[in-house]
Amino acid sequence: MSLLQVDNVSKTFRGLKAVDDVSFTVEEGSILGIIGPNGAGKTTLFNCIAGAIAPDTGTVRLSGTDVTGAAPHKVSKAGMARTFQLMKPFGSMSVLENVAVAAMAHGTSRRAATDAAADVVERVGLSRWRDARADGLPTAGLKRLELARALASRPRVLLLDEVLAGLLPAERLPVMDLLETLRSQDGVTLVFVEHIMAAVMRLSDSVLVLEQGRVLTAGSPAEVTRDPRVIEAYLGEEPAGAGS
Amino acid sequence: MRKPWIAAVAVAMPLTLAACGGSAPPGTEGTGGGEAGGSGDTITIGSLHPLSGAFAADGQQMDNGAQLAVDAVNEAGGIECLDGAQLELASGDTQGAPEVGQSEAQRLIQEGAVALVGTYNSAVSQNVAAVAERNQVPFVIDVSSADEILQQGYQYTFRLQPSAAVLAQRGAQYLAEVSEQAGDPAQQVAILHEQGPFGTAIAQGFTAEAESQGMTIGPVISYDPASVSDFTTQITAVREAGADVMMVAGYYRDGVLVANAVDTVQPGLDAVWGVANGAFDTPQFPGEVGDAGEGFFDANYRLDMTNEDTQALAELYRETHGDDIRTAAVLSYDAVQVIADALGRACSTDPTELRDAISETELDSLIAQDGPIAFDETGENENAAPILMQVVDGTVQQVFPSEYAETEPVYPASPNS
Amino acid sequence: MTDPTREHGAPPLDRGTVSTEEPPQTTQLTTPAPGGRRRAVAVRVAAVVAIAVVALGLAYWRTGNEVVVTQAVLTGLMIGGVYGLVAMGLTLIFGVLDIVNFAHGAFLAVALYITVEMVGRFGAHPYLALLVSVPLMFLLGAAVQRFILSGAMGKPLENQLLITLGLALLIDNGLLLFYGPNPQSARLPNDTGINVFGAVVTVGRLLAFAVALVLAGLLYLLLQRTRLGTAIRAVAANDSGAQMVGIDTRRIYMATFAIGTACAGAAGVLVAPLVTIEPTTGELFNIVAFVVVVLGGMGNVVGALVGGLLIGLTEQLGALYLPGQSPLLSVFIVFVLVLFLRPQGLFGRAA
Repeated sequence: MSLLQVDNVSKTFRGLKAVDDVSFTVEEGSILGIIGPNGAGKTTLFNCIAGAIAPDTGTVRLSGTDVTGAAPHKVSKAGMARTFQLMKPFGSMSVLENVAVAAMAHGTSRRAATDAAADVVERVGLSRWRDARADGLPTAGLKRLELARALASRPRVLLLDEVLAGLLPAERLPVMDLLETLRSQDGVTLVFVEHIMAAVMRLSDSVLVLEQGRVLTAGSPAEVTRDPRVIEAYLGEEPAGAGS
Repeated sequence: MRKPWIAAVAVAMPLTLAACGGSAPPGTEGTGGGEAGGSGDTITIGSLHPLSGAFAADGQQMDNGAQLAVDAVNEAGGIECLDGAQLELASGDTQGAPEVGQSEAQRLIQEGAVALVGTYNSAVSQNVAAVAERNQVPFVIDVSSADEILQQGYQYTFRLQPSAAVLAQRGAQYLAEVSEQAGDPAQQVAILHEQGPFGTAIAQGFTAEAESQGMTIGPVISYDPASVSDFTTQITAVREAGADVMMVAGYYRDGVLVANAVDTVQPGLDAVWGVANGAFDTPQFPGEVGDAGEGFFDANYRLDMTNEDTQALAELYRETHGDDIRTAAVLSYDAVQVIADALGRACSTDPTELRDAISETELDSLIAQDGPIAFDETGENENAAPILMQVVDGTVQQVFPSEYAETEPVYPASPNS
Repeated sequence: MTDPTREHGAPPLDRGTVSTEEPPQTTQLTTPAPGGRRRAVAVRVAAVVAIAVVALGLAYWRTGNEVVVTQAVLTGLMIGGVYGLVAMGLTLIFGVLDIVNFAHGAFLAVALYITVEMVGRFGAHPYLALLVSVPLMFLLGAAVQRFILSGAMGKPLENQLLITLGLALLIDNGLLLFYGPNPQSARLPNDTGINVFGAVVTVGRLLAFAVALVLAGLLYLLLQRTRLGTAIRAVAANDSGAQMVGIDTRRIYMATFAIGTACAGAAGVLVAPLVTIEPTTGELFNIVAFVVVVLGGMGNVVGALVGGLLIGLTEQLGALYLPGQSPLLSVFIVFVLVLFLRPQGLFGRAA
């Protein structure tokens, strides 16, 4: 049984089919990248998987458990964590406490949660800002905080929504390194939506390409980037990361 | 809104309450004891008092007092020269708010009230007086102290209680007389008054008379009765200033707090001297503050307990409502009696004729005053006067002037204050 | 965390933007100055002390009598402590649920009457009513939030205001119907005055202050040191963020409203021996509580306590500065001044 199973998910907004009969599976310990031109429905699909939106049809199953359209905290408790493009830090609390909250919500005592949080903070490279107020962090730090909070809940699946957006190229590399170790050291399964092709190519085991709400194709990064349909879908649109 | 029932119930509550208290929904008859036989029509008198809100305790008593008067008139046969026409009381809840009082007055007049009594709050009475004048319906004020109400040339408004000016002047006069009589004339009088028009008017009138009697006034401290919660600082200031008497003009709640603070601080005063104080002469006061209130004076309008009819009314109130009657309720009783008496002389329900009859009233009162109820050209009861009460051995008793005294005043009041 | 390709500066299959970059710097985040936070707090404390000295000096100059000034300060603190407790519950509710709870004073009034019942019916010491009032009000608050208010969450603000207002009216009139308008009391036995530096305070008021501080401290510990408290603070800081890390916000709303109402329940018992108890007595505290909440910073529990003490002191000292005027004028002046200098309130978060 796959860890994450998405079956026939569709979502219509105001008469427009944003997501049209999308199905895929993600095996445990693998990394799936979801790409597609603007308006392809990536974000909507992402939200359907994460439970933020209830799809019109279809199911989302985590280890066989149906989590379609479940409330955010239930999704989190089921073992699926996500980051948000619009970051939602607990501004008045310290970085360490921000992360500890996530650990606490999953049943550990305050002391154990704080210890676990310290570890996570170290791993994402925020040790120096451990006791600083979260609302004092710049964008790069907030991104790492989002990641740290997601990790602290010890998820089985981590959903990442354009986690590299807004970062300077130099800031992206540490994050990508971190994501790789998540899979290799912690056995976390990753599903991420991304525009930055370099990251997709480097990190993904498999890639899902969306176009106009439908699955255009799926396969390894190398296969997908050579697929003429994919190239055509992106024609007339500069993929992020393209040089001149 | 998904839970509108909560708001609906909340709004229904005060309406239900008011209905129980006597304010009938529009379009229906007023509640009241006018069902007794009698071949004549019923004559409706409007009763406007705060039946809910912060002043409900007094307001409900006053409405009850008015109702007892209506019952008494009806039992005696109604208005004789109108074929024994029965009286009926239509009650309105002013909630202590001027706009509400105004609209209630308007409503009662439209539903046929030939006269109005009320209202307890000066601001409300001010508005009702204007409505009465506009509609040419007589309005007899039972309780409201503001001098201005009857200084606007209104023809249709009359007042039973002594005005603030009279209360203050007599209050100071009695202090001079009582303290001299005791061989310990008051020299420096501190004033603690609520900051609104009522307290300020009392303070000013008192100061004028006291100074003309040779006393010095100071310090003068005002407070907000709605928000005050403790008086230890103020009483300490009075003590430190060396005053020998403290005059207090305020309402019930703050009066109780003053007593507590005096008990705590022990300012060494000869007397705590209320003038029209909302607490010091109420039957509930000694019970609530215990020994702390012993010896407190209040110069105020008062039901005359040396009068047998007053005693009978007090007993009747106790039987009917299980509570001690307050002076305000007796004033409402008197107000209805004034209207009934005027109806009997005018032999008409025409409002202007009724108004003229009221202006010629000469009626004995259940209130202690200088003579029968009689109105001057502005509508003031020219014989209205306060008398002096004191808390003696845990009960409020009349102590001065001697013709109303139930017992001798104790001056200086007690070693405690 | 090193990748062999990194040294060549060219990640695989990239079209080229990253490769032109310099070697990545280890950190793009600036470290906050370590002493900065401590310094900011020290400045604030110094400012408060300075203002206190000026205020007392002014009061002394106005009255020429240190006994009166001492009395004013003492009374102000005593009263302010209780204001703080009332306001703490209110500000907690606002910080977490974004609800302006107009029924807070009415809940306090319920606690007053619980005390009356305990004293009148069972002859108990008024403070024993805490054992009844706090749990009872906690449950009442939870029930109100769960069954009445939860439907209005996320809806327009007017709905919530209307509901809490309606609730306040319901409770006030219910108390009026049940108990009548006559004043009641629930006195402390042997309420003597105690001498403190030449000023006097009754045992009742001193106890009310002390217990209020203890409860405030407990509330603070609850919020800072327990899992529930941390979750509450997280929901207050960022509602959707809290949901995403696994916190069931509906349960937190219920718990918070219950705690806030329990605060009103405790304050009501402490205050009962000190006031004349009528159905409308709760409304007095409502108004002060709102002023304190805004002054202290909406949602900030420490701010509520400090704000309460400040308002208590302002009322008392204000009566000395401007003896002919209402002490409310001083409160108003302080209120406007604080908000002018710090619109978010003393401890509030900057917008």
